[in-house]
Parts: sequence; structure tokens; C-alpha cells
Amino acid sequence: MLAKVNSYGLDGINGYKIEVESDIHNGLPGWEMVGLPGASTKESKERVRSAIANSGYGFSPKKITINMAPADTKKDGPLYDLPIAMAILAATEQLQADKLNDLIFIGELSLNGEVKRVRGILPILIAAKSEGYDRVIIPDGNRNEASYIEGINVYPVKNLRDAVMHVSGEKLIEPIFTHEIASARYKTEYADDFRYVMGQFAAKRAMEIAAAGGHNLLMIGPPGGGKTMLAKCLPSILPDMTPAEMLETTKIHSVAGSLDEERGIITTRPFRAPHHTVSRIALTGGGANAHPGEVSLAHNGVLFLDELPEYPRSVLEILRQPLEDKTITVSRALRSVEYPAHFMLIASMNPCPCGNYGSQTADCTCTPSQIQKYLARLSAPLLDRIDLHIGVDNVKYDELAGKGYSEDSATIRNRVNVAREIQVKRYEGTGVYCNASMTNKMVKDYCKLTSDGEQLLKTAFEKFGLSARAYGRVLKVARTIADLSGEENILATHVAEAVQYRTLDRSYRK
Amino acid sequence: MTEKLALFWLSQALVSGKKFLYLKNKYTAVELFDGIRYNDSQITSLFGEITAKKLKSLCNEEKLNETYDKMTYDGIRYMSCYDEEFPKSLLNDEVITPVGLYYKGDVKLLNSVTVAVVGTRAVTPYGKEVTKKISRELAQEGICIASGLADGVDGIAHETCLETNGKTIAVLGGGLKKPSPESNVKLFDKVCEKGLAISEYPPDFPPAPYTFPERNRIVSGISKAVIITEAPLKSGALITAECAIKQGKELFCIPANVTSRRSEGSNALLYSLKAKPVSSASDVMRALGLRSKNKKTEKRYIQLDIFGQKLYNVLQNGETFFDNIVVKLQHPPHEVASKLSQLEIIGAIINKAPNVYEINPDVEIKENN
Repeated sequence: MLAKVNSYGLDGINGYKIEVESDIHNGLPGWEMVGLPGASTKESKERVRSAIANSGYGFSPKKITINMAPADTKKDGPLYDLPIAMAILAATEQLQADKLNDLIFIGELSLNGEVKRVRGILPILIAAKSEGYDRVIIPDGNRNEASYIEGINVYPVKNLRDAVMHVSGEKLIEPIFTHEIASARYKTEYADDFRYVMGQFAAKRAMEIAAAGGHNLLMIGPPGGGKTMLAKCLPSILPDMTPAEMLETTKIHSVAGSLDEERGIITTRPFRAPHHTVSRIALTGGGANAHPGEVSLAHNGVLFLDELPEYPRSVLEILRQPLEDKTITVSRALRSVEYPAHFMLIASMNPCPCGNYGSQTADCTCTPSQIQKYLARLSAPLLDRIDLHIGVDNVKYDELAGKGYSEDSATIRNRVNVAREIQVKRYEGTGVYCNASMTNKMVKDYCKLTSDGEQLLKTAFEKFGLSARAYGRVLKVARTIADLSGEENILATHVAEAVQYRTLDRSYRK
Repeated sequence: MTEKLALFWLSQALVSGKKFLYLKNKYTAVELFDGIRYNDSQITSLFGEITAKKLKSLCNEEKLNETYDKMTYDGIRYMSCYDEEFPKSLLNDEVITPVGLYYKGDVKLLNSVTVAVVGTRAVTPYGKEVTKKISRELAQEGICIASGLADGVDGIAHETCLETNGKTIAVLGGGLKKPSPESNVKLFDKVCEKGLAISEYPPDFPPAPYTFPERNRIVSGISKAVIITEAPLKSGALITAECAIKQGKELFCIPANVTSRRSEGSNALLYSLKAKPVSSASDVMRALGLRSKNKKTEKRYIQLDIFGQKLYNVLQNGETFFDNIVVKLQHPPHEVASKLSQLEIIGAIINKAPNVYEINPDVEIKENN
């Protein structure tokens, strides 16, 4: 007999419908699977066989054929275990086949019939909802992740028996109670707080601007200056995520399987810090399944690259496209997937191999050619995409510095949040959330300078020999500074501050 | 066969100044030429085996003329030590006069008052700053700056001088077609265009480790004084310093931080009283008995607002860290950063290094009453 069950598969971060058909007919006992199943999907026949038997149902001793349509896309992963089991039960008439219509099944089976958590539930639910399905059966372990999609009934099952009894109507399961995504915000405790960073006022301020406007930031300074510590504090001042951002980021993490089972949804901006031995594929995404890489996992958050010149040049150059387009296209032999990759790049580096060039407290022991080679590892096009660069030197404290006030992260975050709200409002409907992603036209429209500001910018460029490409960067940063102080127009003081954060363009670097 | 062509022949065969010093009182160059041509054993034995072989292989008047013309066509000229334009300052046995000099550029510069600015290749930001300062000031005084076209201090000295439209002479440690290091080739072209490049080595001769110390005697030789801006204990600049002392030239050093290992060499010259400390071009002018051409550059007067004045007062105590400025002023960092930029733009202060600021000594601030 023939039975058909609906399920969903993943293509990048989008779900697509898969029909699982099973046919049981006379022949030598055996199991045939067609429709391009990958290794982990092929293995499901052993799991399904045991799960059915151990759940107290009968397994057919006939010839079983399973087809997964569309037959030309590769199916991978164990999430088809449950639909296959349901299809076999329906084909062996242990379940009424017509009750399976309009239902979607997703889940991995263990040998004893338990249904286990799978990755990618969120994008699948979103896709199913948009295609008009309103009843989905998912593993109980994914319940939290599913609870933020409204307008679709999701039934979490713990084991195969639950699923069968729910379908047959013997014992109905309550659909998951959904809540609004905006309510998901957790109060997060951060281990690192700016309150504990002494001095470094310039760097802290630059971080605040970067967080508020989503700007890329490069810190340059000798070892021990506190670059890594500053970067670690950054998550504590990042602006709250908008519901749309939460959903998008969660989708990617859901596909990557890196979601916290308890929380189910990502409410704080991700902070990804891949080590400099990271491979190209790990950064961009790829592999046989075209899984998302670090740049996508950092979507709507921060990608922190410590000791930037230590990364292989081939790895760094890859960042250029996502920094510009905010997406990355991962092409593999069988498929090409586009992942969003809108991240803030925070990088740190030493000014030379020994780290002490230009330091006020230690001597540099590098030869000129060593320094040149070291700096040449970073290409100009990559540096072009970084809005703020600041020097972070070892602080020589005089007795006064210890008494300096240090703001805590919460205070800074409040300012950042206000500035970000202004930006979200300003760019509503354009798909842009922050000043750093302004297009050239937007810079023209929204970065209006007062005549004082104009004059100051002009003199600053002549005085400091800033390049033409620095112009747009300075304007964007000045826009963020103006937003932080709640000004409609960019004033001269904002421009003046913005040029402070162009260390690499300054004369003492040339 | 002219004497000049014969001297050119000696230069082409890399006959050293030392050897020439010994020969020039005994034979004329033409006599040597003929001696080698006719295998005079007495003359051949004067040179080492390798040099003799080389001399022999070049011993062809027609070919020499051809080489000379071709070189001239490439813009490189030759002057022998007996020529009119040859710098008199090099005709000194202490200098060890080279047989001749190849040159490219404005040869008249050799007659101008010249001061050498030399130092280490691995220059610190401080070294960079003082080299720039003294080179700029000297150039403004109309003094010609000689140096060795190396990385670091040498390159900065040439570069600054050219930027100030001053006169500069580069003395190369190799042939004029082989400027080194690679990174200074562009600078070399600029020097040839606006200044002068000289070398005692044939144009195609690549620099060798021993040629750099040799050329240092010419750097100090053509100069009235030698200024070392920064040199560690092991530095080529100290060889130039020795040459200067031997040749009886004035030797100056710019004092540096005593804890900096990058200036131990130049500081040591000061302790041992071999060199005089200088901090500006006017010190050099005074010591050399030259009158400053430029009137003292007029100070600019700037008026500041109250916050600007407060900030300026903090910097009166010398260079200051951003953090310390913030603490002393008790103002939010972003206001301080903004004000610092503004003061910097109007020229009242200088952003010396990342997060380090100091006042600009060339600008006078009007008190705000």
C-alpha cells in the first residue's frame, strides 16, 4: 500500500517542502530509499525499524520503498526519521493515511522510539507557515525555539507513540503556547563590564560610537594595552536587538545547530571570536552541506578578529565581500546558498611584529622591512572598509588617573540604545538599521553639515592629509556622534570628534 | 689617450681611493694605462691579481670612449679628481680622495654649504620627528643636506629636504643604476631630478657590504658638519662619525632619551664629548659661524575659548596622554576629543602619537581676558 507524509528540508536558511512516500509491496524483504538521501538520511532505516518495533508497532516483512520528492535535491540529516516512520505506519495500515494530510512531521528517532531535537526548526516553521500549513509536529526538544512563531499550531512530541496517538485522535497534544518575540528579551549578565576598565577613555568612546552606529573598528597598539579586554566588554554595550533581527539571527543559529535549547531564540547580539588559525570555510561557511560560517553566525552581532595580521591573507580578503554586501554566497558542488552576514568587524593588531613601535613605554626591536611586511599583510581595500581606527597604548598612570571616573556598561548601553532607535526610525522601510550601512545617497541626504561643520571638515582634510575615501567614513561616524548627542544636524564638534578616530590616516603613521 | 679617460678607466676597474693615494704621486693615469696595455710587469704588480685582470680587460681606448658616451647618454656623468668641478673638500688625504665621481643631477650643489644628516635605518618615531625637524630647518636656511639614501634617517632627511624645496645630495654605496634599497628607488629619482646623486662606483656596480662604510667618508667629506639624529651602538652612522672626526669636521648629535636603546650610539658620542649636542638648525648655524638667512619665523597668534584655554593649560606641562587630560579636566571624553581636534586643526597643539598631545611651540596663544 502507498502512503504520503509531508515534511520539510533545509536549503541554506530557508525551508522547502519534501514529500515522503512509502510503498510496501510484495518481494524479497528489504528497504530501498530513493530521492538522493545523504549518508545520515540513509541510516534512518535502521533507526526507524527499531523505533517502530520498540514502540509496540509491527514492522512489515515485505519490500519497502521510500521516495523523497523533489528527487533532485540532496537530503541530509536525521530530521526525516519521523516522517518516514509515519509513512511506513500508514502504509502498513497501522494508522489512517488520510489523517496525515495537511500535517507536517519533523524529527529524529532514537532506537527506543524517542523523538529527538533537530536543527533548523525555526526556518522550517516560517516556511511552512508561509505556504499555508497550520499543523506541524516537531520534537519536544525544539519547543522553546518554536514558541515564537505565531499563527501556526505546533505540537511537540516526545516519542513516536505520542505522534501516532495524536494523529489518530486517541490522545491529543496541546499546541505550544506562543509568545511575542519582543517579550523574549532576557536581562543578560555580562562578565566583562566597562566599569572595570581603567582609563582608555578614547578607546571606550570609540567603542560606544561603533556600537551605536554599527561601525567597524580597528584597535592598534602594543601588547598588554588592553585591546582584547576592551573587545570583550563590547557585547555589554551593544544595542538591544529588534524582533526582526532576533528572528533572522536565530534562523542562522538554528540551521547551524548552535541554539541554546533553554532559550530557543537569540536575544543578545552574537559575539564571534574565531582564532587566527580559522580556515576559509569555517569563516565563510561551506562544507558538504554548505553550513553557515562565522561571518553568518555573527549576523547582527560582532565578529572579533584578534591580532588581525596573523590571519592568513587569503582568509582576510574573503571578508571584503560580506563587509560590502552584508551577505555571503556559499557555492558547493550540489547547491549554492546565500547566508546573511551583516556583522560589525572589530579587529585588533600590533603596530609591528614585536608590538612596541610607537609605544611610549617600550622600545621596538623590529627592522623597517619587518614592519613593512607586517603591515602589508592587510590590504588597503580591507582597511578601507573600517570606519574607526584608534590607538590603544599602555597607560602610564600618574596619580590622577586612578581617580578618574569609569562609567559602567549599562549607562553606555542606554545611550547606545537611544542612538540606535533614532537610526532605526530614520531608516525605516529601507532595510538599513544603522549609520554604518548607509548608502552613498543616504549619506548625502542624512549627513547634512552646518556651515561651521563643513568648514571644519575641509580644513581638517587639508591639515591631516586625509584621503578622499576617508570622507564618507568620517561623515558616517559624525552622524553617529550626532545621534548619540541627540542632534538633528551634524555640528562642527561632531565632525571634530570624528576625525580623531582616523589613526591610520594620520601623519605619524606615514 | 687623455688623463681624464685614463682616470675613468681606473674608476671603471674599481681602483680604490687608498690604492690611488699611493699611485698618484708616482705615475700619471696615462702611464698606468700604457703599462697595463703593454704588460709592464712592474706596473701590473702594483695591482692585485683581480684588479690587474680587470684593468687589462678594460684596456681599450675605443671601448672606454664608447662606455663613457653610453653612460652620458643615460644621464650619468663622470668627473675625475683632477677636474675643475670636483669638490675641493674631497681633495684631502684624510678623506682618501676617490679616483673620480659618477654623478646624476645638479653638480653645482657640490659648491654649496653642505651638512650631512645621518642615522640609523631602524628609526623610532622620535628619531623620525627630530630628523624631519632638523632637515626642514636646515633646508629653510638654504643649507644643502647630504646623506646616504638608506632606509630610516637618511631617507627621511632627503625626503623632508625635497618637500621643503631644499638642496640635497645623496651619496650612494653602489652604482647610480643600482640605487638601494629597493624601497627608495622613487626617492632616488626625485633626488636626481631636484638634487644630486653621486657615487665613486661604476653605474652598474651593485652595492656590497664593504661599500657602505667606504662611501660614508664621502658623505662626511663633502659636508661641513655631520649631524647624527639617532643611532644605536652598532650603526653605520657611527662610521660616518669616525670619518668626520678624522677629517676634522664638526660632529653634532641630537640628544635622546637615555633609556632608549635606539639612541645609545648617538648619546655615547655626546658623553665622550666627541660630538656637540644640537636641537635645531640655528644651533648648527651658530656653531659653524654661519649667519641665519631666515628671520625668525613669525609666531602665529591664536585666541582660544575658555574650554580650549583650559585644555591648552593642561598641555603646558609637556606631552600628555588623552586619559590624563580627561582626568585633569574632569570633562566627558567625547567633548575633550572634539576640542582636541579643533585645537589641532587651528594648529595650537600637535597630535604626536596615538592619544598623545603636546602644544605647538610655533604658535603663541593670546590670553583670554
